[in-house]
Amino acid sequence: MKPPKVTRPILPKGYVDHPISEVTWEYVEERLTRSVNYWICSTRPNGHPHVIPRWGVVVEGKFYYDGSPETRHAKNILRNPNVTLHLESGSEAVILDGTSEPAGKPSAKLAKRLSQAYKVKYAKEGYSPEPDQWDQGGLYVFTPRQCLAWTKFFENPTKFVFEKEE
Amino acid sequence: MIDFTSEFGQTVKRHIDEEYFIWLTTVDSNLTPQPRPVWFIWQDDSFLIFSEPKAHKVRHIMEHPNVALHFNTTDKKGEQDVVVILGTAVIDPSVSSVHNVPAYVKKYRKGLVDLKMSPEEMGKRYSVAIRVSPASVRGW
Repeated sequence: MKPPKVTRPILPKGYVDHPISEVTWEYVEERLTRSVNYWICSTRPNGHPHVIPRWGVVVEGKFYYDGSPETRHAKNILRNPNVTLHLESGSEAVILDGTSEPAGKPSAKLAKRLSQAYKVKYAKEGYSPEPDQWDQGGLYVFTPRQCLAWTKFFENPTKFVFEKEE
Repeated sequence: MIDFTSEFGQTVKRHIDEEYFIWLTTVDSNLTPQPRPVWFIWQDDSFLIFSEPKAHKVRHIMEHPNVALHFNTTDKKGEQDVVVILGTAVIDPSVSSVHNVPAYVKKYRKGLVDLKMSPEEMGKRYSVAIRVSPASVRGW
């Protein structure tokens, strides 16, 4: 992912009035790349939130995850692409909001890289997709708008803002 | 109501008893889900969470009371111990203050020390009690 602009989240007065440091994007990117479980939060057509843990990979600077087009999260993004993704720690949080969309059939080169990335992380867990895994759909790409992260909430809450891709 | 007698219900109960954070997902005015880790206790068949009055989640709940709660999976593969609770959140004016909720103070005593905050100070700052009543629970 392109290094985003680093800023502070807007928090209510009294939350963190005197932050003393920042989380680095390199730290966040490392955790995003290495994490196993990613919580995908989307919104149902009736406005209720839907949350589900998914496996996923960062390839060519983008976060990809997969699942049947019949799954709730996949149906939700067709109606409302706004998605928030977070990693599994409340004390060392990484929360990204952005949009998800079906990635379509990946190019042969991308499909190969996705397959390799999945195998590196998930083969030992029993998931080794081949490059043609997503030829019929079921691959989604998440594009972040911004990211909120901290390792100590009262010291270094940090907001990263991504440039809109042309 | 959550059925704590089933095998999965016991898993849910274990998470409720042992977890420090729960993820509260509200929906904002753009219908974007907004998950945040929060402190909580289980009380009167509902989740009790405290917030500052001006926090985004309070405004979200006023507009969209349907929320989701989930715990981090304790299984590194994410194939076990997934617990997601859907419910309705309300601002509960009957809860006077954090420092009058002994179970909450007991659970987060060390956290409050780390924040250099007394229960009374937290009660003044986090003066809004959010109560989430579960409507359904799913997971594996």
